Amino acid sequence: METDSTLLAEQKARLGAERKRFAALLAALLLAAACLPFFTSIFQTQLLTGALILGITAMSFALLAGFGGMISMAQMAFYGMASYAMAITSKTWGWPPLASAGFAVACSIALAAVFGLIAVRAAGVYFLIMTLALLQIFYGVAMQWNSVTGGYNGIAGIPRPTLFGFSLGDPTTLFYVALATTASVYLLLRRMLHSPFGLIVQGIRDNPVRMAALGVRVQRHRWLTLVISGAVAGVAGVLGTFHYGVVNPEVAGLSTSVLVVLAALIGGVDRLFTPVLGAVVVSILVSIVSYMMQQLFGTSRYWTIIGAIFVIVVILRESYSRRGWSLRGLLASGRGTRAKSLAKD
Amino acid sequence: MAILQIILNGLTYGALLFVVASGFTLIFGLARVVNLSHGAFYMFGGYVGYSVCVWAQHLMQTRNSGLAWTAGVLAAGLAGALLALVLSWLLKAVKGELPQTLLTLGLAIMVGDICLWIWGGLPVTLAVPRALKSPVEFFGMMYPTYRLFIIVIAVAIAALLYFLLFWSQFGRLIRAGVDNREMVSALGVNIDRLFLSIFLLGGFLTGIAGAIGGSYLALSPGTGFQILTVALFVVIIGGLGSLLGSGVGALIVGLVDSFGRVYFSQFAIFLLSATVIAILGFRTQGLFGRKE
Repeated sequence: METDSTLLAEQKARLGAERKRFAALLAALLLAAACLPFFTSIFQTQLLTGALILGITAMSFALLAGFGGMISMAQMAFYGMASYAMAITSKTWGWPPLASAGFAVACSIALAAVFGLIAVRAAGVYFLIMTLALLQIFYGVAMQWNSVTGGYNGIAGIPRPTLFGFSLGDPTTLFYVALATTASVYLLLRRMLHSPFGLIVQGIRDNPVRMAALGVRVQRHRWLTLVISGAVAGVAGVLGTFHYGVVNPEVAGLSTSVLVVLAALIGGVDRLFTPVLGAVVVSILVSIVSYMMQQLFGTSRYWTIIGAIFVIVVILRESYSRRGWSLRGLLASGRGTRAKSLAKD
Repeated sequence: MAILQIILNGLTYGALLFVVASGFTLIFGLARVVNLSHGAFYMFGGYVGYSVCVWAQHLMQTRNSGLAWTAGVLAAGLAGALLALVLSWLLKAVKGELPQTLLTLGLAIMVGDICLWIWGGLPVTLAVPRALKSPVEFFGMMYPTYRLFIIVIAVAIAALLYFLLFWSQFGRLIRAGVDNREMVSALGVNIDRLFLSIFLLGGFLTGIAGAIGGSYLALSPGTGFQILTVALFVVIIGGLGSLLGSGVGALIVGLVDSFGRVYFSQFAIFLLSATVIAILGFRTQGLFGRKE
């Protein structure tokens, strides 16, 4: 008994120290990020804002892929749903910004909830196909429903609101809003993954049959994970609308989804924060590649290179994870032992 | 619009979709790879077919020549097979269904962009042979001969595939390989070569479909994504890996799309999605799919 309690106390102390270290690391990182706009040009600040928005979307992908064991191509559909809802309510209907932002996220949640009813019944590649089908349906609707979505051209000139005296049209302000949102989303998701609910979700990823035998409602938990991830992508969509000021069917195109997956793959999906770093890398990469193609070949066809990088990243990721390098079995969802992943994040 | 014409439009579109989806099904059936670059195969094949067709016409100093068109279609098939070869090399570098599927996504982006690079953004169409160009009288109405010809091609391909898969030794080996790769390999069959031949066949069919479809639906940079969409709808409805399923799925998607365009115009996509969802609601694995 004596030893038990000392062990417990030791463990508590260790956990406390770990928590403090984590808080210090996060605070330092946030502080460093917050200082960035003082050193960067407007263009670079905007690039970073775009990277954070991509990062939030990549986080929603990682939540599903790394923790829920579901590879989803539909994140940009949830993003686009919020973007279009934002554009339509704030520009066409003239709603106040906060109301339309809330409504936009609610729309993403609703889309994820309805879609999830069917999709969670499929697993593995079948789930991926279903999510891709949703992405394509969304693209088709955005393209064809001219009267509401503006068709091919989409909706431009979406008003950027002023919140508490700060205009979101100002790149630096928007960067801080995006940074604060990224941090809050991360902390909320992290809290969720440490809760019993989060543990169950990861248990289902590792062994759905055993979890079902333990009395867990597998499909309901997978559904909830999908809905949460849809909400996160919706938040990114709202920010993206402020950032770009336009929305068109391309948000749900294949190439934007490729960027999301690429960010998550470069960062790694077994943690929540790394996809954000991956998104920063991807954004800088896209910017450099497009600039170089422009300079060297005088063309704006840089997707060939991005696609090639994507293929290489998939191949490298795979061979590293097979060799048991620190990047753990990232895509071998549902197989292998990954119970430790929680302790690290 | 006469109901017969709507049905015929649906059938011809469905016939084209069957050729597209059969390539997809072949590759998925044996390799278990969901080829997300399938639409790009179609587009690349169609564009190559277009270029070869234009070049052959130029060589022969004629327009709408059947020979030039046939050359274009064959070249399209070869282009599709070439892409399939590249894909099969790339796939060797990764293991597992999901990473392989993601890899095809990267390939789709690359091929799509390269097509835009070479052929530009303006829509192009292959010149249909003169003999198939003029409309023909069909049950008291005029209908484009070429579209009826697509049905003939699709039926011929279906018959050929059926024979190949269910009546030949090659087909027996493939069906055995789908069920148990290791066992077939242990029996002394070079499963990798079998694998590759199915890949090439699937790529060839998709490339051909690109040229055939590119002769009446224009080819443009968005084509790849559109074709991938409908191909996925077809195989989701019909069931992954089932040839019969892709036939039935193609007819359903073709007819629903055709009716949707006439009666719902811009909401056709809703009707198609509703159909997909309704069928999935009853059978998650599609009409003819095997439960995993």
